Amino acid sequence: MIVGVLKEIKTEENRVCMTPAGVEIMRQNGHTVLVEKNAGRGSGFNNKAYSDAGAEIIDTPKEIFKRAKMVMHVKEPLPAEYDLIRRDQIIFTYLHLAAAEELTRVLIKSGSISIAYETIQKADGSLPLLTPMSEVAGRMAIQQGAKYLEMAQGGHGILLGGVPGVDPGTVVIIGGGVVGINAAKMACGLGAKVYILDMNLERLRYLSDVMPSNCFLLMSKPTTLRRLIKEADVVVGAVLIPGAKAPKLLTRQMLKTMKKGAVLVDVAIDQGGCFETSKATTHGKPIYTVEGVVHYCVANMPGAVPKTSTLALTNATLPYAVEIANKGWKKAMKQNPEIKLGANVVKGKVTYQGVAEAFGLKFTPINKVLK
Amino acid sequence: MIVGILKEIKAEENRVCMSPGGVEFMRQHGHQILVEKNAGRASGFGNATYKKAGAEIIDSPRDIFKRAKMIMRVKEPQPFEFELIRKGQIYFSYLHLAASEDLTRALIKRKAVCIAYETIQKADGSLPLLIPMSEVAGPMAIQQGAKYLEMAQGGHGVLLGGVPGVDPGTVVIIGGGAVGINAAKMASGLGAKVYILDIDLDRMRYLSDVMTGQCVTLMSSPAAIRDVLPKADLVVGAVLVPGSKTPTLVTREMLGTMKKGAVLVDVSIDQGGCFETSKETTHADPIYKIDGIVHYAVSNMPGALPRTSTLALNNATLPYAEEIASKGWKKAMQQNPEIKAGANVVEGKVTYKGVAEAFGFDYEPINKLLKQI
Repeated sequence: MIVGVLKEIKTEENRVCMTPAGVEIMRQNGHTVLVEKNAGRGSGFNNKAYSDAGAEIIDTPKEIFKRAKMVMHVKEPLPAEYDLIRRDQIIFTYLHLAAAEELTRVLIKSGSISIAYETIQKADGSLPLLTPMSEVAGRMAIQQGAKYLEMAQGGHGILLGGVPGVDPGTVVIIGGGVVGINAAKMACGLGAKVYILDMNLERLRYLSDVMPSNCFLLMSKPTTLRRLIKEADVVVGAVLIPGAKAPKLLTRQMLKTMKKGAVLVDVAIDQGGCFETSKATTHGKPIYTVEGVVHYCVANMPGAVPKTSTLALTNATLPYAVEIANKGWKKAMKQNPEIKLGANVVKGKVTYQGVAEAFGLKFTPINKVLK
Repeated sequence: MIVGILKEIKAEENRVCMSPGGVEFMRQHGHQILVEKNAGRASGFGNATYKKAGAEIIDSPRDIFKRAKMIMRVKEPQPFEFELIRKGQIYFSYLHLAASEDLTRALIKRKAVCIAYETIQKADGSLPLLIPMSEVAGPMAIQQGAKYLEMAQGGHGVLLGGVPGVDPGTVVIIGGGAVGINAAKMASGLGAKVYILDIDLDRMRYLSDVMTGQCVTLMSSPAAIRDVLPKADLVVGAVLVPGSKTPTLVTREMLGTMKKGAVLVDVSIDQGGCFETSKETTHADPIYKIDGIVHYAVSNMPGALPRTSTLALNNATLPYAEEIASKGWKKAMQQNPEIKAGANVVEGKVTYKGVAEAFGFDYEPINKLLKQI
C-alpha cells in the first residue's frame, strides 16, 4: 500500500505521525511511504533521515493525497485539505469529530474511510492511542506546577520537594487514571506530599500497591476534595469520562478556600476542563490567575515536547497502521475489533454512534457496512 | 539583646531573615525583637503573626538601626543605609564583600561588626549558611531545565522523564556538592538519566552509595565533559570553589557539539558562572539562546521560592543568631570558631583575608583583634 505522511499545519503542533524508524518497518512490510517535506522537523527528524529509511520525500500535500491509499496525520484535516481527500482513501489520525460538525460533513461527502486514533479501543475499555499522550501530559503537569509556584510566575514561592528541615509542597491529583498515575510518579519523585483522589476502589488498591509511601490514596468525594484543596500547593485535574465533557469538580467558591498563589493544572481542558474557572490557554500564554490561584490550562500539552510525544504516539499507532496497510481496512477491521472501533465515517456513512448523535446524523453500525 | 529584622529591598528578593518561629525562639532566650513592617509578607508571614510571636513591629528601618544592637537581613545594606549603621553594631547577613569595594569601605568607615553568612564555616570546610540555598537551587535547576526544554520555550521538546517506551532525557550535572546532589535527586526522581561529574573521588563514592542506579558518577576532566555533552538534554553547572571565581568548564566551542535546543542552567552564576557563554539574567527575563542552546543563568535562584527558602535559611541561621545575641559577638567568636570565620569587617578592620586581598586593604587577623579586647 502507498502510505502518505503529512506535515502538521495546526499552530503549536510539532509532532509527526511516523518516525524514520516507522518508515523502515513499513518498508519491511512491503509498503511505499511518501513523507511530506519537513514533516519531521519539529520532532528532530530531517528529510534525509526519512529518505535513508526508504521514504520518498514529497513537496506538496496535494501530491500525497493524490497518490496515497492511506493518509496519516496527527491532527484532523484542515479546510485547506478538504477538497484533496479522495473516495475510498483511508484517513488515519486524531479526528475528534463529535466536536467538529463541518469536518464530519466533509468526511461524509468525501466517501473516505476515516479511522480516528481516539476511538480505537481495547477489550478492557482502554484507549491505546490516547494513553501515550496522557502519560506525557500527566508527567508534564507536575513540571508546570513546580514552575508556576515560583513567585515571579505568580505562585506563592514553594519548592515542591522542600529541602531538609522544610515542609515539601502538597500535590492533589483528581483522577487516578493514566494522567493521574503519571503525574503522581513525578510528584513523588520530586519528594512532594501527594494525594490521588479516585472513585474506583480497585484502582485505588492498585495505586496503593505500586506507588511510593509519599502518595496517599483517597476515595473522591466532595467533602474530601473540599478539605484537601485548602492544603494544596498544586492541584492537577486528571479526570476523563470517555466521550463526554469533564465534570466540574472544583467550583469558583472552592477556589476561595485555597492558598493564594497555589497552582491549578487542568489536564482535562481538552474535554472542557474539570475546574469551573478553567478556560483553554496556549503554550505561548499558558497561565492566568483567578481568586489569587494560578490556572494552567494549555490545550494539547504534549505538543510542547514533540520529540518525546512523537515517539510515544508512534510507538502506539504504528502497529495499527501496519495492520491496516497489510490487510486493507476491511480485513483489518473484521479481524481486529480495536481497529473496527476506530471507524468513524466510512464511505459516506457515520459509523460511530457518538458522532451521529452529536449532530443528529444517521448512524450506521460498522458491522453492517462490513457485511 | 535587641535584634532588628529588616525588610529586604533588593529587586526580586522576597525572603525574610527571621520567621515568627525564630522570633519566638529568640524571645525564649530573653531577646527583644524589632521587625520592620511587612518584612515577612512575601514569605507568607503577616505582621500579626510576628506580633503574636512577641516581636515589636517598627515602621521605619531608621528606628531599627537606631535601637537594635544586632541588625539581621538576608542581603547586604544598600547605599542609602550606610549612614544608619552605628559604631559597634552587629550586621549579620549575606555580604559578599569581595565583590563590592564600596560596601566594604562603608562598613570599615562605620566601624560596625559585620558577620557574613557566607563565610561562616565548619571544621570540615562546609559552609552551613550556603548549604540551604544550594539545596533549593539544585532542585530548582531541574525544574527550570524541564520547563525550558519545551519547544514553545526554546527547547527541543523532550520530556525529562520520558514515558514508557520512549527514552528519558539525559541530565549532566557538573559538580557533586550540595547543589549537584540535590539536582541529581530531582532529576532521578523524574526518571531522567543522570551523570554527575566531580573531581573528588571520595565524594563520588558517597554519591554512588546513596543515589539510585540511573545516576552515574564520572571523574570530571575536560575530556569527560566533551564526551558527555553531546548526549545531554540538560546541563547543570553546580561548581563552587569557595571564595573564588568559578572556573569555565564548558567553552563556547563545546556548545557546538551539543543538541540544538538543549538547556544549560548555570547555578554558579553568582560566582561568575561555569559556562563561557553565561551572563547573569533575572527571574523576569530568565533565558537567552547562544548557538541554539538555551541558557538559564538567573542569579539568586532561591529568591523565586521565598517561602521554602526563608524557612530553609532560617533553620540554618537561627542557632548562630541566638548564640551571638546571647553571648555578644566577642564571646561568641571566642567560643565558636564557625562564627569567628564569619567575621569580615570588625570595628574598622578587615578581618577576612579574601576581602582584604581583593581590594589591597590591610588584613587584620580576627584572633589578633579578639586578644586585644
